[in-house]
Amino acid sequence: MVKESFFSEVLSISGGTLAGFLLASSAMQNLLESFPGLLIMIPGFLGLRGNILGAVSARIGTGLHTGLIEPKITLKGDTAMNFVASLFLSTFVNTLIGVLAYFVSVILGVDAILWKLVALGALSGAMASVIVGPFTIMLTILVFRQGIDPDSVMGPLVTSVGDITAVICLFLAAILVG
Amino acid sequence: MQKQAFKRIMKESAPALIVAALIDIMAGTTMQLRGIEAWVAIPVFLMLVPPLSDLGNDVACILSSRITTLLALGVIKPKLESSEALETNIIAILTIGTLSSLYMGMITFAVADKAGLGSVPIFPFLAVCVISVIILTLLVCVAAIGIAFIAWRRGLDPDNVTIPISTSISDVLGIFSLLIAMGMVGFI
Repeated sequence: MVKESFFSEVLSISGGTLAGFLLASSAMQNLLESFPGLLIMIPGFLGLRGNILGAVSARIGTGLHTGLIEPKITLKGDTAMNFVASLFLSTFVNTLIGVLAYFVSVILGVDAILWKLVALGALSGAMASVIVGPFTIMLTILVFRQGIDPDSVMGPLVTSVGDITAVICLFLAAILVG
Repeated sequence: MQKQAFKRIMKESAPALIVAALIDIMAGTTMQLRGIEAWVAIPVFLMLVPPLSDLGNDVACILSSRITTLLALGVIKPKLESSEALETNIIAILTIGTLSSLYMGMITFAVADKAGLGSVPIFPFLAVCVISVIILTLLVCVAAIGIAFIAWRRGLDPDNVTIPISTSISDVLGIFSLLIAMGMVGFI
């Protein structure tokens, strides 16, 4: 167990370090300083991508194992439904995180602007899902085709890819919101 | 059929994700309480936030699914009593955590050093990594076992409920452990 898990930990931490590098980069530092309330949203942004997409790959994995989903790369039927579900959930939850971060900012006396935090949440949530959603679904199917059980490899992969995308989308959304 | 499946996903996932968002906001609040200036002053510690959160989430995931399996097999009961199966799992998780924390420390130090993201001496920095991960792992063990027991007793789905809740709690614990370890080593 130690051997198996350590390998996937190394993978997961490497992805996390790349996300950390982007988060600590000087461009992101400037953004954090010029966007009051953004820091409060960071853990939520990082966590939710893994939660939502981990569930997507688990569901697709189960569908493939039981034969309900054919191992073909298309965005139709059940795979499309899963994609839409993840897009919907991540936009909704990220918007909620924006609202919550605003309330915390008010309590802590941080000068946050409600619409900016909400727009940032919704935009980055939707963007990240549009990018990582199809990638997760395709990779789950590809892994299954290779005869590997998606359940045992997709978890750490999705978390690290999700982290990196979350930081990039957060950055892009912040530029759009201004 | 697909409409129903869609509704079921929403119904099962949304409440757990909302609770997870509420808990994750607490992690963000803890970060904000330290102040942006303090994080930006030594960015190498900001760099530790995502990998530490990944590590905590993975520990929470591994432990949650193992405990649920042990409960389903009847090897352990959802009660607070010492059990060999549980202890073996905790020791294994601590070993994985400690080894992984050394890897996390070295790779983060190397990247930060190359990119010029704050210069800290390597051994105190590695000490922060190892201490924070040990504290985090122990706290996550307690949290994951507690949540798995409660979820099991109430018949909640471990995939849709136990994992999101215990991973977001591990995010809060991750920030706490990092700050405690930084304090112990003398960076705060």
